[in-house]
Amino acid sequence: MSGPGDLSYAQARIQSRHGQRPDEALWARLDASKSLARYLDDAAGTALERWTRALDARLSTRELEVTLRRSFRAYAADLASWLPDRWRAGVSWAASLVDLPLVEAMDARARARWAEEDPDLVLLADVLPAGDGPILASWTRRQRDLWPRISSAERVALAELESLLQHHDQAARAAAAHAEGESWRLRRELAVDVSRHFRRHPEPPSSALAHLLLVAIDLERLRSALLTRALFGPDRGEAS
Amino acid sequence: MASHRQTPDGVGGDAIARLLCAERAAEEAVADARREADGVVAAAHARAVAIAERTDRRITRIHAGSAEVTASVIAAMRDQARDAVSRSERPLPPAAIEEAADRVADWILGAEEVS
Repeated sequence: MSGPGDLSYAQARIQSRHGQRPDEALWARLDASKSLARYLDDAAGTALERWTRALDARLSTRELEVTLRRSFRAYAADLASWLPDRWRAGVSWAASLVDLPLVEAMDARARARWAEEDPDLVLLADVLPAGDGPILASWTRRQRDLWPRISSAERVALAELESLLQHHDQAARAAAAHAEGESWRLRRELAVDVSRHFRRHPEPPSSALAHLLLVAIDLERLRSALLTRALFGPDRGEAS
Repeated sequence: MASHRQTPDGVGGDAIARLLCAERAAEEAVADARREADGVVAAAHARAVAIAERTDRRITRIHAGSAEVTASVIAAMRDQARDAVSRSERPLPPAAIEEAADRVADWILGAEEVS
């Protein structure tokens, strides 16, 4: 009988979670909820409830964000716990991917304030110092260091995923320099590519990383929806 | 990123990060403004410092209020600052009194604008 730490158990759990991701119909339905309070109410009982249940329309934008960052770390830790020991550190590290933009944008002078709010964020900034090249490259190097000996097939699958991420990062930075409004088109393209990768490489650890990446993209979409409503939505804190 | 209606595609993680950092910077600016105002008012007169401290407490309440309430509170605080400074044991020139009152009002307005 399989259980946590067993590859087939992990694979089944990851596939199950993959099937629970929100679909476009849900996103479209929620988009009609214009206030933050209504959005959170309408997300209850859906595939997004995992992320929204700890949120409240009275929270500040930073409180919303730090809660979601912690939820994602917990999600990644949960997923890593299903895997054999040798994969856990690498998969847990993948949770920090969503923090990279903030680590990169963070003003070092405000470091103490960030540390009060989210110590993990500042610890990540220590591990990925500024001025050490593109932050994604530093992050990827660190992740490679966390992998144990891997088979050639696993190496190929992980390298392919790394390549997708690097390509996306380069395209997103180029687009940011020349045009606005490209980020979501590029994110959607990345999600399509990673979903294809997930189907072609259903075995951990590659599938675990691909799944986390797709969840991170879903979460980013949710964060965007919540923050725009928190900041600019009608009657903040009231249903509409 | 003017509103979610104008940006139906949403904002990406990079924009969210910049937003959070901008909020943090705004908080720092408020703290700097308060420190600066403390210095100016204290230099004018010790009683004005007490007013500044009361103002500090009131700013929190102002944030929850409407623009009309804010304007009336600023006017009242400005009057109080002018009155306090003018009753100084060390006589101050009228221009210094007005400046101290202005700085209290600017301080509140500044805190309003960036928070």
